Amino acid sequence: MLEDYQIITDWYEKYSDSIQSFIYIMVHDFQQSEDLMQDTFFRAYRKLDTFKGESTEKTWLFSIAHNVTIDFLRKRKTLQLFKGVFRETPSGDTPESVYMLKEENNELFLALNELKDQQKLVITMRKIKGFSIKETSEILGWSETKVKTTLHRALPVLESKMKNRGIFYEKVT
Amino acid sequence: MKRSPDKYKDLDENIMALRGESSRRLTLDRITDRIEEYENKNKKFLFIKYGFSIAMFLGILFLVFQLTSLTDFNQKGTIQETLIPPTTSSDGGISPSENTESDSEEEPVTEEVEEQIEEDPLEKYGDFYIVEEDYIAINTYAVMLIDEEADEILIENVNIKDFARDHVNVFKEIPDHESERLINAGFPEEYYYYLSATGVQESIGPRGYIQVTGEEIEKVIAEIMEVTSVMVAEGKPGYPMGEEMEELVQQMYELFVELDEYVNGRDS
Repeated sequence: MLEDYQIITDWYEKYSDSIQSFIYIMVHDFQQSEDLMQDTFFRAYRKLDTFKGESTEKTWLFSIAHNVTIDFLRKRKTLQLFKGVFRETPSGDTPESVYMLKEENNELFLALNELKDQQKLVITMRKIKGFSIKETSEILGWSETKVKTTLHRALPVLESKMKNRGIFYEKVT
Repeated sequence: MKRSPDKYKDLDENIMALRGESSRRLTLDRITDRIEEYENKNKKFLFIKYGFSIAMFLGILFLVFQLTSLTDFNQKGTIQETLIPPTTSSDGGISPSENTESDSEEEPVTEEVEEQIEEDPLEKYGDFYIVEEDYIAINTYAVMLIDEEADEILIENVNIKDFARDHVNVFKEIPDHESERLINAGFPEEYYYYLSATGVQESIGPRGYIQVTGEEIEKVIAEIMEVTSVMVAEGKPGYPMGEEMEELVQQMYELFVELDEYVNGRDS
């Protein structure tokens, strides 16, 4: 029990910043991203006995974070349906909930947010977090082919969103 | 402004740098609290579990002692009649052998239920039922969630044939329409169609859990998705109202009739 707790805190020290950044890109609210990360590590503690070391601990933690985040996004989507009835603002972003990013990073961040969730996920995993195709497929629970095709379709879409914002990539890979 | 692809990493580093040490510590404290709470609950559970085990152990000891005493008593040649099997009741209850028989009679019923659950949906629904990765992911996820929260497993099978048939009715003007329930709750009728359209997007859209292949059917679905995107007012707040929504509902109805005829045949 104490040993398990020690493992979780060690992993927290090593990966929490990176996981929080992934969740933040997905949910656009830093307080929410901290809460979801809390869920991620608590769930990891409870399920630690199922971690057999077949993947790296980082990949395993990211797959839990992915599940926790997708669960939250689904719930939020349902909530937004009801918000729509009462004609509330479609975007939940408020100055209190978002980081003040550097201008050039903010454009990429906002352009990413215009993509579909699956496209955003695959670009975040492959390009921002630098996971391999195999690792990305393990984290997202997709086939490697799906990772490749979704990324292949997502990058030009992101490029066009960036162009709309007056920003051009020198090369999109 | 020109940018290099390294900006992906810059964005990541920018976000990570903005996370304050206080947030980092606070979240770790909360995780620690939740783990402690979880372990305390487990301890209570373990206490009950061990208590129960000890009680069981003592009960067995008592039973063994009783049986041994009776056997000794019997070996000494005294009252033979007192050797009554422990599970036999005095009012003519079921003997252990009868119990075994009734248990074995119940077994085939359990097997039958298991067979029903394991029915292959691909076999049942034929060519149009194509299980995609997304579909599996959604259901696996649902199973996990429900299993954890309510100790219950829900398996939902969705197929294009039932979906097409059901949606003909969804977009048809029927007096006792389901929308009445929403209207009675204070929502406009358009909201019902808006919700139905979002459901269509989730089901047969490009990211939906039902994916089908075939030139004709893909064409019909593309047309449905086109109307759907207007109904859900993609990228705009709210949804169409009044005559505009009525026209869209009529279009959807016609398209679903076409889809229904295609997947279920004209006599469906």
